Amino acid sequence: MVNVMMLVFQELFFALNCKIVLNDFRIKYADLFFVLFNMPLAIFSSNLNQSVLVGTILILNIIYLIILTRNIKISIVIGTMVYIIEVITDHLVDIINLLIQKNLPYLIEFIPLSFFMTLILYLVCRKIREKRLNKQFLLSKNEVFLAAGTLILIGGLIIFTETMQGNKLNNIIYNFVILLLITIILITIHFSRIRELRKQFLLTKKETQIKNDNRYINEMEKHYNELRKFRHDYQNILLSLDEYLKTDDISGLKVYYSEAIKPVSSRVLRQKYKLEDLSKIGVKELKSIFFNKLYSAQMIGTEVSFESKNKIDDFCVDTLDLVLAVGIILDNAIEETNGQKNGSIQTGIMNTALEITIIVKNSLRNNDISVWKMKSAGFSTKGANRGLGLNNLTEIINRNDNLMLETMKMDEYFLQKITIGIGEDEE
Amino acid sequence: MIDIFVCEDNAKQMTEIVSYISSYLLMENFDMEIKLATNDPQEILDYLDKNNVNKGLYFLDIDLKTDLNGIELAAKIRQEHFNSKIVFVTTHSEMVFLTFKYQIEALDYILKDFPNEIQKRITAAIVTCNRQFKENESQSEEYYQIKTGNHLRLVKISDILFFESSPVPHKVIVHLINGQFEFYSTVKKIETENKIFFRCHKSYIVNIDNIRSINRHTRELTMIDEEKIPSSVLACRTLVKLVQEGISR
Repeated sequence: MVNVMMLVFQELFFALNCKIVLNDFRIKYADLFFVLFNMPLAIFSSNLNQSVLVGTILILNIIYLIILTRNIKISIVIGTMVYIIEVITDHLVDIINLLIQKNLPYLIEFIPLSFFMTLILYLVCRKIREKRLNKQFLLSKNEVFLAAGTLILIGGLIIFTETMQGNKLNNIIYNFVILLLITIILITIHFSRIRELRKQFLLTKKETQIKNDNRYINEMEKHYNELRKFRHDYQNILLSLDEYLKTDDISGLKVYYSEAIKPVSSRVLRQKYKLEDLSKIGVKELKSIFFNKLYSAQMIGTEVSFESKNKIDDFCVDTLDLVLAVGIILDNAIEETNGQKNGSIQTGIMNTALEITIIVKNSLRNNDISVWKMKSAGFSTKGANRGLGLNNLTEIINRNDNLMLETMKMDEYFLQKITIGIGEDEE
Repeated sequence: MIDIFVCEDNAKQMTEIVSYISSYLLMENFDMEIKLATNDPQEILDYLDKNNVNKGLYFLDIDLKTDLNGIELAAKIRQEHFNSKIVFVTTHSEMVFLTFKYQIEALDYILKDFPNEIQKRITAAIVTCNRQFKENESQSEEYYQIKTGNHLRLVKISDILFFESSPVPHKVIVHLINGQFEFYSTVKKIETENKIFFRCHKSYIVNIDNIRSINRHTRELTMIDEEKIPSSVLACRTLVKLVQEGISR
């Protein structure tokens, strides 16, 4: 009877711990399976050899996890984790019992200790979750193998050293130490791997940033060279003018003006660098997204421009959200203009004392789709899975109180405007 | 009477612009007069403070060599004199097209880089300005005023389909025939502002004139652009009555 109770509680704690690790406390069909199969089978096999019992429970619990998560890798790793915790608890109870030499009922110690372990597990899991680790960081192939190996090792260890030789204190302490060591080693490996991955992630992020910056610098240099050429021309023009004036050669001057000066000035006009106002954006990430998107649009033959009259350093809003929103708007504009014959994207930022306005305006192919249709989730002229942009945009706007969105569709162009309130609420 | 103002820091260009304007005014018999031509933007603002200017047409350079540039000057003029017509006279390198169009809502811009065109563009601007002021006086179209930031926006009531309260408090989304935008207000406030607006749902106000059909079973209103909005039971009944009255009337 005591044995059965012990098994039931062990199994219950196993399920509870699994749910904590998965952070999903809803009751599922898998739990029904757990109650209907795992528990009775475990209880049934408790009458058999203890070695068989350990093996059966292990396999059944892994099956339960696979049904719950539908992922073999995760099941093995979580199963191992929770199993190690249980075995450690179990060993602790045995050690305490044997050391104090009083035969307290197993359950009286097991339940509080298990609760304590579960609490620690819960706190650790919450802490890890707060760090918002990416899913891909969590498991690697090696870790799954390691986990599976550990599981088999522990199972074997316990069967051969404890159940086959009776529960001797020495064996239990040895096993406990070995288990602790294995746990510590595994945890260390896991965390060092995560640190490595995070470092790599930051590195690639920086690399792309540098690449983008380099592109910007190259463009700037090109522009600067043009300017130098112009300054050279300008100096020559001044010298010649000087010469004509000195000799009072007005008719020659007239000819020179129409033949030399006018063409130069019209060339300068044409070559106005369309993105030079980007230097007025004081937020690097925003500058970067404008430059890269507009530059790529320019590369596929779309006419682009950016304008800003004043330098703006503070956008008074979460930079990441703003960059995301602008990115979505620009992506839409690029997608629409790509393939248009004389496609154009005009962008600009303007500010007053109360607000900053970001405008993106792009030419439009003829269509009859109204704005509300474009904004509904999943809509796209390009087929499924493409149109989530505008819907996401709404979400971003809604989570920032001071952002406002305007979407207008005129005959020949599409206009998106983000207004950022910066002054006091004018009520 | 439409008052004309010129602000240009280059003396030569200023006399040129003024002469184009006055010669054209002499030729055509418009009810217009040049009130002030100056290189100091502050002078224009002072004049507006002291005198009553009902209708104004402004020709402004952008780079004025003072701490106030033409765009800021235009914004200041607009604040007090909403219906002012503003024309920028500028060089290509100073062009900020979107700012002209969407921040200032300028009537036009004239590029100095094409000297032969300046006169033509100035006269064209005068003609457009004159026509627009006349149209404003005679038209019967009703407008709804929306204040966003320090910007007063006029929207044709016939363009408004409905208002929807945003998930964010104090924000309202207005849906127009050709788009939508957000502004700070509440559904409660808008409801009282025009009798053509009807509160059909806790968070919707519909423009009765732009409903295409009402489905009493699903309690959905279909707007003239086919967008569907929900309606409450009670509102649905009242709406049907309202619309029927509207038809019989």
